[in-house]
Amino acid sequence: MFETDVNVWNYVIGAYAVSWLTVIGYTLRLWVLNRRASRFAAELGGDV
Amino acid sequence: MQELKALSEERAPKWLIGLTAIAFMAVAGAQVFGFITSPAAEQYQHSQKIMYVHVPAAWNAFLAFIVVFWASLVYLWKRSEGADLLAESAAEVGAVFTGLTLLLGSIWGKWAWGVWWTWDPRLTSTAVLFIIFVGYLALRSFTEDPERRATWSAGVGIFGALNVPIVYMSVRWWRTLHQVQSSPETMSAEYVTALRVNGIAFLLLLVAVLGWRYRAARIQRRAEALHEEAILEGRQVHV
Repeated sequence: MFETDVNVWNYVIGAYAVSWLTVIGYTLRLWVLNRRASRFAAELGGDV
Repeated sequence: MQELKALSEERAPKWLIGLTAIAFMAVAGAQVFGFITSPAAEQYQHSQKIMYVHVPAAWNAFLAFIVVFWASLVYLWKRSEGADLLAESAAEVGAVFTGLTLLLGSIWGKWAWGVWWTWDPRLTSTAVLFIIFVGYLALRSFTEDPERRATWSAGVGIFGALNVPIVYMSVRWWRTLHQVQSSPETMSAEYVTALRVNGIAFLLLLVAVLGWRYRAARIQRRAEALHEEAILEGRQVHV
């Protein structure tokens, strides 16, 4: 049942790496979205 | 236009910046705590440590979809723009955490079961939940009219969130490979504290990312509304 021939730590480290990549990646997306929203407001403000 | 200028220069609230920093430190600290305090499990060896990210990610996804459910109902009842934006934000955050849950479960499953994926009731119902909310986000991006977008997505959001109890109970209702829900009654006592600590850290992260997502959505929508107002008032608009 278990893949005991493979070091379990490969899976543990892989799982934590995936978690941090997801969290950091999504945080970057949120940073971009917030910047884009502010710029959008600034552009529209310049139009009127 | 003063309001748009003020909106574009609006600074992020200090509490949100502080909460984000605390959440990141809490998640890192909780993971270190889990590694230090948890012995290898008899059957699952050190793969048990994947539980400290997999289970809190799933809890966060469920909580986010409960927010979608509540905010969608409030929108349909009161037609509140804020409720629609909160539902949209929570749906995206929930989809991210569901995707993460599936990925982590897949990694653990490969080690424990020897396969990356199996059509187990818990896995399948979670995948359905994920697909519904990816569809929800696609629906929002394809619908131009704000009122129609909000009404349709509130319907999909409520329908999608109704799947949360099905996913949660799937391990009890059907024969499944997946373990039953993690709780002090179903886990060894030596892992309960670490799971709780990681759960609280992830909860802080959930509030922080939801706050940032909502802020971006609110600024975008407010800018659109102010721009439209200016056009209707006949002020000069360069497009």
